Amino acid sequence: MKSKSRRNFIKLGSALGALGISGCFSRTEKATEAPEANSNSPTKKALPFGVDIEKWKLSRSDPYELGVVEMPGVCNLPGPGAKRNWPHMDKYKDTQEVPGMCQLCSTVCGIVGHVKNDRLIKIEGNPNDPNSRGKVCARGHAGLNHLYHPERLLYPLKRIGKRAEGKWKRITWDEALDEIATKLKKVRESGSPQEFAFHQGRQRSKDALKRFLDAFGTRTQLSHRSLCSGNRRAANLTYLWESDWDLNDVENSKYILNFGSNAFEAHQGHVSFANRIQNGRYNNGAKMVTFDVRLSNTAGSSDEWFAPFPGTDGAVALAMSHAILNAEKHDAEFIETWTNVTVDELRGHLKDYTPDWAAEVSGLKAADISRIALEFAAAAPAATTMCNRGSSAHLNGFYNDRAIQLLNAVVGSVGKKGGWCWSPWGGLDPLVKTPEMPPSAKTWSLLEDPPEYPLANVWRRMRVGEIIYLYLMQGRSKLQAYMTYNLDSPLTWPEESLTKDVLCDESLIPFHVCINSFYNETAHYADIVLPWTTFLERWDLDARGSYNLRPYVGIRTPMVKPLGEARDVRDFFPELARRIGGGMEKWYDYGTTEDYMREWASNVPKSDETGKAGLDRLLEEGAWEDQSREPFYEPYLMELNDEELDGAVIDSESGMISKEGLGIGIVQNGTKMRGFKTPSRKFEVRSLFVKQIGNNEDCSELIRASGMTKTKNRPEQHEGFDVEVDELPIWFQPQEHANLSFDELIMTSFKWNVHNHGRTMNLKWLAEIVHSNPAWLNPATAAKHNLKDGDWIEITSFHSQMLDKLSPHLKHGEADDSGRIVVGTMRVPVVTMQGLHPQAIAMSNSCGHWQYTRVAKAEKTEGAYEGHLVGSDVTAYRDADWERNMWWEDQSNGDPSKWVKNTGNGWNQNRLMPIAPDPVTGQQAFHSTVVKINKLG
Amino acid sequence: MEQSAVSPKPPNTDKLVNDRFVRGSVYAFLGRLFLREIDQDTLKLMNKDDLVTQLTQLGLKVPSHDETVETLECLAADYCSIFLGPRNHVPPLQSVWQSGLLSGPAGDSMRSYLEFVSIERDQDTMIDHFGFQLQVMATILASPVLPDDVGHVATITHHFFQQHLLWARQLLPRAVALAETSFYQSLMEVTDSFLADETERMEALVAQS
Repeated sequence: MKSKSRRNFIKLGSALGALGISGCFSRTEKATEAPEANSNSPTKKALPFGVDIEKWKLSRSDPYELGVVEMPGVCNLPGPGAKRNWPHMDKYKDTQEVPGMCQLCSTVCGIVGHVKNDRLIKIEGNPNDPNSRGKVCARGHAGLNHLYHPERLLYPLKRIGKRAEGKWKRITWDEALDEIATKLKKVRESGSPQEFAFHQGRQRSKDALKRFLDAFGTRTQLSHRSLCSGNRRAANLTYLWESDWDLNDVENSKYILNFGSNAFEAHQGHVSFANRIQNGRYNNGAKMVTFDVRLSNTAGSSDEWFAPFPGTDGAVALAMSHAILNAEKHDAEFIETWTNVTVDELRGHLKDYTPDWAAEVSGLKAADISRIALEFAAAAPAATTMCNRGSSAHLNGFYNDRAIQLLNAVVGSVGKKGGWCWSPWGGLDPLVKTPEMPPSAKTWSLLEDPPEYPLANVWRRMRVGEIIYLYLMQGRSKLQAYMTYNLDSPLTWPEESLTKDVLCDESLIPFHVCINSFYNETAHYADIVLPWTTFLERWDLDARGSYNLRPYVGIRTPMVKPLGEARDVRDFFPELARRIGGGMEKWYDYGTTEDYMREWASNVPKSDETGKAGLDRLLEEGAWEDQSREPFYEPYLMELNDEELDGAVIDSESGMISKEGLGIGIVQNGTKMRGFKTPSRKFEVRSLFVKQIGNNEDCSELIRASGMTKTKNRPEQHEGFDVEVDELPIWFQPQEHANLSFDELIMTSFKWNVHNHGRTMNLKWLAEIVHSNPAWLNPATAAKHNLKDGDWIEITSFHSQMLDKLSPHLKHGEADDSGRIVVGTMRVPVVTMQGLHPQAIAMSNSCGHWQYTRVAKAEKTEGAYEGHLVGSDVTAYRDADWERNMWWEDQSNGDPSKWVKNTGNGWNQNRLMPIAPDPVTGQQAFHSTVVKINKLG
Repeated sequence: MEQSAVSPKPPNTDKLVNDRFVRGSVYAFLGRLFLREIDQDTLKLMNKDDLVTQLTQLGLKVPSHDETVETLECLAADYCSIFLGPRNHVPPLQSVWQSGLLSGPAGDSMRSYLEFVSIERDQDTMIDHFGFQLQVMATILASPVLPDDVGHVATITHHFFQQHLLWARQLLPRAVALAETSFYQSLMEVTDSFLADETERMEALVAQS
């Protein structure tokens, strides 16, 4: 049989040879042309090929051994039978160190990649990064998994068959860009450019996206901000106007009052912030108290933890202010001088928010509330609050955060060393200037600026991301083309089923291009998928609001060449723009991406040490901070200089200083100071602006007085959409939270220290640590329902009753017998935890992928047990063994009785979450959802 | 080294060279089929009288080129679902099979071969792609050899085969299971059979030497 086969191969070889097929028969050759091209030539063109024997003699090393290789960055863990598990001591010797910035969460820590033989073998923190100071978390280390994941998208794909059927074919970049350009050109020329929507997940190439969209002429740039931090930002803006991000000076603090932030595991500041918190505690003796429904790792590491009833953080905070004022422990001078209310006004406003009242609504003890409040006041001004989604992601989240931040004004820690600080530099040092940008697009879109949410877009464009699929479904807005970028909305958006329905519906989204490094849940609903580079293969200048309270610039560089045909938007947007034409192309005349980066970084000054400046300096150091700049403490006390005062006018009655009609400062105690950048030049406890803007009143005067001219009145499209916004920090309870029935709980979600929301469960090193998310229940709650660890429950979730009344435009779905609208049901196992409020139920997010690689789905490859990996040692389970060592695969086939604890890939909690924007800002109220539970089996 | 094209006509006087040339042609052809989807030109080529007969005799189910549009789309979809995914596929990349991740040490080894094997390569082609490895082997086999270098080239050929082609015998059965078209099912089988034959042949040569 074999000899026959051999003869046949010889015949085939001869036939091929006669047709000119031999040597390198590459894709660049035209097979049909080969025979006719030249009968004396083996290929169409004479390719340079062959073996250089002399070179081989000189260069060959020991034979390459199969199956006993070290993986990049892997220290093989001891497994059964493993004999040798440590990397060779020279593994990291003589590596090239390349700077970059992580992008596996929002913190963008500076990193250094160790590259050897064109392969990244290790990631470490960059000690030159002033914010992260050389620290990097587990996610950062797992960047190696991200870069070298075996299921990465490497080629452009085009859908064939029905959308979401999962049938694809490879196309070339030329074909992809031609098709996209044709569609986008049509949209652009249709007169409705806003019907091209760009929908981003986590993005750190702001300039590249803005350049493309502004050049195109659409402002429909959708984001996830309202699913993240909208309330905290809006609350900060009411007080400060110039910054939406408080940078708590915890390293110099004596008292840290944490409302629902899990900074030790997630949070926008994560590593930079957690590191400074611990420095504050261990080097400065700071006390940390956490209020959180759940005992997070941050709460668990605090000196005291309290679990208030969900959504009552604001009530507790107001009661604390009440207690401080009542005990005369407030900073009267700060309140009288630097806020726009008097102590008496504030006391009057807070009189009913007593600790006893707060104790009743929160379930905490009034004595604890008062005690913590007075401790906080005693530590001031080196005392600060911190908060995040625990308090923000509620139907009353805007007011929760207003109330929390008020505490800092009451004790006078605003802007003080060790207190509640901020900086006007949310990103790059303003010294660096992007090469000339196109003028901003002028379009308006209901999806980008829904008129129902007055504070979503007036200071910053925070948008209301969670409503977009609903509004499309309702026919309130229309799209011709939709481009998604690093987005996993079917997993991370509320109402999974609605999101999927809309993404699948070609009448609602006629053309969908997905840009991603992996085939995630969003890509599944695309028409064209473009393989995106990882953050280890592309360029950016990047920075976050720094806890050093001064700006900096960091650089993201390609540490290795992009794998396969993966490309970054900086690389292919210029080509796409040229194909669309119509003037777009003129914004891409800057040369190569490196030329662009060089121009962008050109103002980075010369280093005294190395003599390098600009891009060269950043490439060497990875980050640059202007250390001559003082930290941004008490900016309101800065005296205006002669140049600033030249031509200025002082209002004798109010002391307000203005120039050319714009506020620039205020006279306090005879000194001309900068003040706060608000209309009153003070910390605005009473915000006239939010009240007026809520009612669509003209706020031009207030905006001019603040000097913050980027703040906008609401556009004419908002007319008729008035919303009552209280000018003072208040607190109310969502109606459905009052009087919960026996089987009702409030659902809360959380992140782990090894995951972000939707982009890390494919990374094996991280998935191995956390891959599932049973529902947490307090033991007392479990006992009431006769539940124990491992039992299964069915969770049913409901739309918000409060929003049914306040936001009827959101209403969809049929009401059940009790008059409530069900969002979804889900069956999950339970785990009992003392660390949870008894009226809450907690499930982590990040889990429950149904796409996004086998690791994310916790599916071993079929047959992997039979020794799939060449040469692998079946007795030594190695991390590098991508397929076989997935010990957490769920073998139950959906039968709860056979489910083994800690197996499977978990459940997508967003299947249960209703679309629930805070009526003021639009922030998604992830933590306010009321659910019912029933024991199964 | 002088880099010249190889004569298309097998020199009948030199059995060894002829043998290498013939085998090299098979490697080159298979390499093309694994590197990319079938296009119209390749389909047309495979349907040429002489070739289609030989391919059919080996068991390859060659689609007729009369039904090109649908056939090509169907073949492209099958190629994609087998090798590119985007999910539950079997990447034809040695590093994935050997060390679980992309661009593993197999790539380093391939790079070391390319230091002395000159071959035109699309820079976006993954260096440890099975199709590319087949083409490197084809190049090695088609390379002109001076009498003094015969032993060296035989060693290179043997090493390269062992180090960069044998691994695919794990890939091919899995690819057969995934393939939905008879063309790709049969291609995997024919290729596996070819590698088996080559293994036998190389072992025999080693035993002889």
